[in-house]
This record gives sequence, C-alpha cells and structure tokens, in this order.
Amino acid sequence: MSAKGDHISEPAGPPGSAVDWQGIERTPEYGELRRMRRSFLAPATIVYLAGYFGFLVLAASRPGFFGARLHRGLNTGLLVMVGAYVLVWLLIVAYVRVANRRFDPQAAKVRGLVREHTSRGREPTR
Amino acid sequence: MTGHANVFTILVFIALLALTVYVLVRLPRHTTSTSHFWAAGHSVRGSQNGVAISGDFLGAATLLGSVGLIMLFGFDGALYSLGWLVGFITVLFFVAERLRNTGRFTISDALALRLRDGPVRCAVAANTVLIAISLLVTQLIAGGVLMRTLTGLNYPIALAITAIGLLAYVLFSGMIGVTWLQILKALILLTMTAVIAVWVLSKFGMDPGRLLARAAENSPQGERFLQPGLYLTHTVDTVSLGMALVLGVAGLPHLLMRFFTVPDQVAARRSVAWAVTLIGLVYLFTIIVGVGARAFLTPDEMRAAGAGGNLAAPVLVEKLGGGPDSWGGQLMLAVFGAAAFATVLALVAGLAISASSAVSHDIFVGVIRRGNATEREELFVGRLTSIGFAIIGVVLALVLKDKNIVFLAGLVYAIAASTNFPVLVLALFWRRFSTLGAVLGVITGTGSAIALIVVSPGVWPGHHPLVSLTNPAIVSVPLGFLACWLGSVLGPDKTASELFAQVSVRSSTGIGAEEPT
Repeated sequence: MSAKGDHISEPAGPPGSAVDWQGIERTPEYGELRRMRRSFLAPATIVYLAGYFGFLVLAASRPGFFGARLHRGLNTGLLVMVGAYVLVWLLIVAYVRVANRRFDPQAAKVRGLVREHTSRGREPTR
Repeated sequence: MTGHANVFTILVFIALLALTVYVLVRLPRHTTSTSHFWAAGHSVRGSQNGVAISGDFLGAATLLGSVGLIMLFGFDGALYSLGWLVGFITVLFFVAERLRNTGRFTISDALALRLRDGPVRCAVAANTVLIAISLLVTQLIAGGVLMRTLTGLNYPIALAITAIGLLAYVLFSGMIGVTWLQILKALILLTMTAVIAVWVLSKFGMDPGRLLARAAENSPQGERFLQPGLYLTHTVDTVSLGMALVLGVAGLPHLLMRFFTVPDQVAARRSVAWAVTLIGLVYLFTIIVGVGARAFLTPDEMRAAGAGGNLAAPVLVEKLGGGPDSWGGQLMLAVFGAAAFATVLALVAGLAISASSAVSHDIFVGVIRRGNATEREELFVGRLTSIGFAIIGVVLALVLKDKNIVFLAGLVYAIAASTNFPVLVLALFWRRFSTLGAVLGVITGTGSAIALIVVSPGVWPGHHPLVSLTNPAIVSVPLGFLACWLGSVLGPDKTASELFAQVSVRSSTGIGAEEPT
C-alpha cells in the first residue's frame, strides 16, 4: 500500500501507459469546463466576500447605520443579519445545482477524452 | 446552579452512555483496512457526512460561548457566528470537491500529488497535530468544567470518561464510528437548541418582536443591544476576526478529512449543503436562546452565568424547567449536561482521528517508511497515536485548567487560515507553486500567527499589549501567502509545475479519484 497515491495516477488505459494530462488540459472540452466554473465562481466569490466584509466594516465602524427601527424590536441590522443567513444558504444551494447540472456533464466529456490521451510515454509522477 | 449528582443526572447520563454504546456495538467493524479506518471506506452518504460535518464543527463554544456572547452583546454576538457559516462557502467553492477528487485520507495526500512528499507531509502533519491538540485542550477543559458545574462530577473523572469514550470509538471502529458519533451528537444538539428556542419563544406568545423588545428593555444599553457596536467595535480587529473565520474553516484538517469519507464530488457538495443547513439552524436557535436569556433572566441570574456569559444557556434551561429547586429544573440541567458531554466527546473523537492520520499516514508511512508499510503497521501506529493523543489531552487539561486558554480557539482559526488555506488553494490553482513555497508558507503562517497571539491582548489581560490586534489573521494570512509566493520564486520546482495539469484536470473532473470500498 503506497501512501503516495501514485497507484491512482494512471486511472485508465493499459498498464504501463500514462495519461497525457497536459494534452487534456489543452483540449477545448476542458477549456469549456474551466470557463464554466470561472464564470460562476468569480462573480459569486466577489459577492460573498464583498458582502460579508462590507457588512462587518459597516457594522463595526458605523453602528448607527443599522439602527432604524422597523417593528417592535426589529431593526434594519437584524433584518440584514437574517437576510445574510438566508443568502449564504441560497449561494450554497445555487452552487450545488449549477455544479450538478452544468459542470458535471462537461466533466464527463473530459473524462471521455482520457483514453484518447493515453500514451506509452511516462508522465512525471511523485 | 451548582449541581450535584442527583437521580436525574445519573439516569440521563446512563441513558446517553447506553445510547453511545448501542451505536458503537451496532456499527460494522471492518477496520482492518486503512481505507475503512481513515475514511470509512469512502462510502458515507452526502447527507450523513453533512450532518457529521456539522457535528465536527459545533463544539462546546457554540452551546456555551455563542449563547453567552449574544446574551451579553446582542447583535454583535450573533454577527460573530455568521463568519463561520460564510466560511463554508469558501470550503465549497475552492476546497471540498477538489480535495475529494485528489486525496485519499489526508490533505497532504492531495498536496503530495505535485509537491515533494517528505517536506510537505512533515510541515502539514505537524500543523494538523498542533491544531488538533489546541482544540482538544479547549474542548476538554470546557467540557470538564461544565460537567463539574452542572452535575457535580469530579473534574478528573469527567476528563477520564471523555478520554475512554473517545478511545472506545476511535480504536474499535475508526472513522465510521466517529462519523456516527458525530451524527448522534449533531442531532442531540439540534433538538436541544430547537426545544429551548421554541420554549423561550412560547413565553413571548411566539412573537420574536416581543422577545426582542423585552431583551432591549432588560439591557442596560437599551435599544443598542439590538444594534451593532457593543462588542466588535474596532474595525481592523473585526475584519481580522472575519478573515480568520471565513478562510480558517477551509483550513481545518479534521473538517476537511470528512470529505474523504464520501464516494464522489457530488456527495462532497451535498455534504456542504447539509452541513450549512444544520449549522445555520443551530445558529438561529442559539440567537433566540441568547436573546431569550437577556429577556428572561434576572440580573442576579445573569451574574450567575459568569463574566463571559458561558453558563447563560444552562442557567436559562434550569429556569425554564422551573428553577433550581424544582425537579423540572434539575431534569433540564441533567439533559443539558448530557448534551454538552456528547458534544465534547464527538468533537474530540474527530480530532483524535485527524491527528492520528497525520502522524501515522503522513509521518510514519509517508515520510519515515517512504510509502512502504503494511496496512497493519499503519493502523497500529494510528491507534497508538490516538491513545497518546488522549493521554496528552487529559494531562494538558489538568495542568491548564485554571489558565486563560480562550486564545487557543482563536489561534486555531488563525493558523488554519494562514497556513493550510493558502497552501491548499495555491496547490490547486497556481501552476508555479513549489515545495519550498509550501514549506515556507506553513512555517511563516504558523510562526506569525503564534507570535502575534503571544503578544496579543487576550494572553495578557490587564497588561498593555505590544500589539492591539486580538486576532492575527489580517497580518498572518497575507504573510502566509507572501511566503508561499516567495518560496516558489526562490525555489522553483519544474516537476511540480508539470504536474499542475494533472492536479488541475483531476481535481475538477474526478478522473482517477479513490473509489469507495
């Protein structure tokens, strides 16, 4: 039993063969998968980091900003807080759905390319 | 509030112990393979793993600390909890499924795909053990003190029971046992907080508005209790704390290890969704409980909750049950004590398996034996490590009992955010990242986090601190990243760059990922 995990770096193809990972990396299918992931993750990451730190900075530096009383004990700050909990949850559910429906089928296409990019040459391993 | 071992305490604890023993006995016991011992055969369902992650995550701090903070500081106490939940977005977006696709049992497995085995495993494993021991000590002390206060159980005996329970689970059933223990604990905690929250609300006609209004009336700060500004007042410090929480969750080894227990990336994603749902619910309940403590307790009772408000929740349940001298109050206190015990037990069991995997799988097999060890040897060393880990934990908890150890919990998140997080993210996303970069990053991140904590106000209460930052993350996270970059520029690694293609493709597609057994 090897701890290096090198027994799984040759997942497909006949024994002694190696997958040309750099070749797969250059295929349009893989490029499309990367583009898909980036077009979701880049804006989503900006939203959650900017939203969270914006809320924190505002709350710490200008506490009065959230003071407006809405109904009985409820004020703007508490509403934003509950909204933030809901938003975190929605963002997570949105990622799971997009990943299952769009990323995974594309990843399956890339998986199909492995056989084509399997050669007798040795890829570097660790 | 000082409990004594009454008939309820004894009955409830016997019931809880019987339940844990029953679960342990019913579990499958094929722990002769490393895959089962470290990763539950990669065959835990996404939903189950999600519940278990919430169990790994919700510690004594949630049950006691969060409720206390909210009772004392209202809005800011609740704002504190939000950071942890946001941290799970980081986990999901950048780490969870990619780690599942490239690793076997430990985060070092994923790193070793492109970085040099020896140095990386040593650095990350040492870090894992440091984080596990710090958390272990905080949990054991909090749990031991709580059990003594609630049930009158002797402190060393409470520690011994916890250590024996943790070893029973880890030694006999490995990761699958720890997983079910976490699930059991998460469900107990969820039910417990839900019942208290609904009970509190029912005292106010199920109207959150009335509850909030009464809490503000009861607070010396009045309306400001429901607004920001009572606790997180220093902007830089607050941002620093936020960074540690939002990035630190994605660097906690015992939590990330849970992603190896599921069969594939779909289940890894589903785990996060389940975990966030459960943790979010528990947080919302603790907010109601904390505000309820402010609205419902008399000033004397609030003083009984201690300066940090850590005993706010038990004081509140005792009052809800009917007061200190009623049977209802004693029963509620006993149930609360049992829930706290289950919480601590499950969390320390998760820490033990994480620390053992780092010592056995990474250091012993990966570095000392260079991958040439039988599964028997690996498991023997793993079990031995968990015994040593439990003993070290109990000894430290006895020695440090009366010391101020609150800073340890902050240290854990700061270290995770400034070492494991940069190293993992750069290994997965940066082609030129090198072994030297990883090692330098771990050393710098850990070193700067520890150094800044040592001179921080938390360690020197009452003294004028050298640095006024309570949390080092805002300095140590950029330093960690900087060191990773510097090391990669100074010691470029051609093989690591060539292997980036493999890591990148495999982590995003799941090609060649470990199969469930």
